[in-house]
Amino acid sequence: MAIDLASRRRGQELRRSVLPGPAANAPSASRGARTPFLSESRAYALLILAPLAVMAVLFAYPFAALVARSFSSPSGPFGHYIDLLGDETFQIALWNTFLYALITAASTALLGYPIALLLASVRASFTNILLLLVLVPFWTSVVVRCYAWIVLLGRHGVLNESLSRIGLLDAPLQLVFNGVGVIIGMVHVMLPYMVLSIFSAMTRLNREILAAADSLGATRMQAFFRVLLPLTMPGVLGGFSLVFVMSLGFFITPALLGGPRNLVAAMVIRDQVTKELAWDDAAAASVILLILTCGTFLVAARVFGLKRHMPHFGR
Amino acid sequence: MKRRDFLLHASATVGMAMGLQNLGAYAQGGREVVFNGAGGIWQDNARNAWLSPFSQETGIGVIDTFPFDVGKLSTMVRTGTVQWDVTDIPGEFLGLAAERGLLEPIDYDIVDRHVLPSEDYGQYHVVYGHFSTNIVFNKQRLTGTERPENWSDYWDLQKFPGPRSFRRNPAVALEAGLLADGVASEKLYPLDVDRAFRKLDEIKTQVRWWTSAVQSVQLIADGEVNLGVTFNSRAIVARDQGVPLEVVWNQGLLAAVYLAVPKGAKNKEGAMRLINYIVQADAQARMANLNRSAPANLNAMAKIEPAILKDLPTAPENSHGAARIDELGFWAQNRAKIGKRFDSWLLI
Repeated sequence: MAIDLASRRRGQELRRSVLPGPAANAPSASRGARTPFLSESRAYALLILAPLAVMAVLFAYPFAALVARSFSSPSGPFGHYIDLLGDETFQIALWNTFLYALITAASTALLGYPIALLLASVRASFTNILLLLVLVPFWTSVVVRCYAWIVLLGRHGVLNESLSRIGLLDAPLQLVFNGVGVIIGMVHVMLPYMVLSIFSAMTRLNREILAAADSLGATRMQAFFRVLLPLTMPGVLGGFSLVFVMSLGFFITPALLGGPRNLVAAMVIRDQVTKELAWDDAAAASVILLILTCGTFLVAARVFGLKRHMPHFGR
Repeated sequence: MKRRDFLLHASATVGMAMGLQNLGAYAQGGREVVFNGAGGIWQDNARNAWLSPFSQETGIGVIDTFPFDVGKLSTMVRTGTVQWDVTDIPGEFLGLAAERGLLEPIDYDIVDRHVLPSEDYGQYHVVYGHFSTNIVFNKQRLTGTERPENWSDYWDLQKFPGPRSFRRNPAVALEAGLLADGVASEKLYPLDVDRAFRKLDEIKTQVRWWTSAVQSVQLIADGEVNLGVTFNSRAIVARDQGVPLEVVWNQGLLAAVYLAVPKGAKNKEGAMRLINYIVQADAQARMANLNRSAPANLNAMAKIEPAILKDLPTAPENSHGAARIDELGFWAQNRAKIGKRFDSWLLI
């Protein structure tokens, strides 16, 4: 949301500075004559108060309560944290969570980029049809999609049966109820986010830059790697961070498509809340997950120069 | 953007309608009873077998909601916003809910406990039925002539190669392991946990762990496993819908289903009267006939249609060799510890 606003604001500044003369000056002139009750900036500030109040009541307060709860252990403020971080099950769950989120984000970037490129390259009427194809799975229940994958990838599923019928397989491939199944399911769910993010970066791109690269003698490969890819990188990184963060919270997909070893942090937290009534532990687990997520993000921002590619990031 | 607006409006409207429905319970001055059930077809059956006839006979309206969630129960009690008067509660949460002070004691001046066997009622609960976890197998996938007859067969990877299933829960899996290892069903408790885990190690690589009942049937129907375990009523419904599965009644593991009253329920008296109605033989038999589930009140057995009775886990010819899971004794005391061990056993 913040990203959208920032880029839109920059767009307006650009338009104003590009279009000189009465068109740009007229509104401010008339405003000067009327001396409004509220200045423009103060009106915006007031507008933002309402959502701020909602966030304070519905997000900030519960969040503070959650953090406070996580420190309320009879064995000292860090009791729950020490218990959790020393628990091998939770360690494995945390590791799996980050591993799956990373693999999912990387896979959706690799798969999503060509799709977004196709969307941006075809005629507008085709773009709409293709966009619809990207979005239809997006509107389907995650649970339904998981069962669909089991039907396709199971031991006697469509894929294994067809491959063994044409003689390519002796024994069925194990594609669900393990890490492979989890990744396939998560990539499927997250792909539209990545495609839309890259696609929007591509539509904002000035096509003439590519023509210029061509006229200056760049090969298609050079034009792609030195012009198109760097210019659409903000879309890729935006999509990557969105997919990564959302993937950290998955639990239905790993629960249905994974095996017993594919435990993730959200499943642990869910069990603590809905099975054990261990809400203090759940709060501590959530805070650990949050800190690690923010930490990963800050490190990634440093290493990959997120600021360079996404100038509005972190504002 | 338009579509999103539409979705927002639609969800807001549905949310409001649901809120109003709940408010209706209070608008009538607490005369009505709010019954929280298990959802799905069970809920329809409960409405027809229990709730509507109860309303007709007593004039007390019943509003039904679902499903049970121990987190929700805890929040309702703590914040004084108890919406349920009677709730279905799985055995694994009963001990925890009672220990945390989330339940009202059952008023046995209103609930006639003498219609139930003595192990089927307690300070905070009443048993309204039984179910069992049984071995099932896919008739089409099991190619040889051998058929599994007990838990020893279930553990026999030579006779029945390939994956089999268990619920991702230590209860049932540990009991099954001990029965497979030759422990007599009446000598199961207290469970020899080490021995049970050792036995489970033998088939660990071949077990698919399911988390929902739907999944347990799906695994069999898709041929993902040749042998599996599932709940008796699920198995019977799937079989009657054409899934080629057969139920092994021998050594079934019986468990109970419970009703409880949340602490601070708004209509306690109505709740007790509804519970009393549910455990009477007529209501119990109606539910058994509709839901194909076993009643707790044994006087109901005579009123169950023969075609239904032969598929009940507590029918004399099926219950032979069955064992009852000690949910409120052994498991209530040891669930947390064994659960942790089970989780890390699965991971490593």
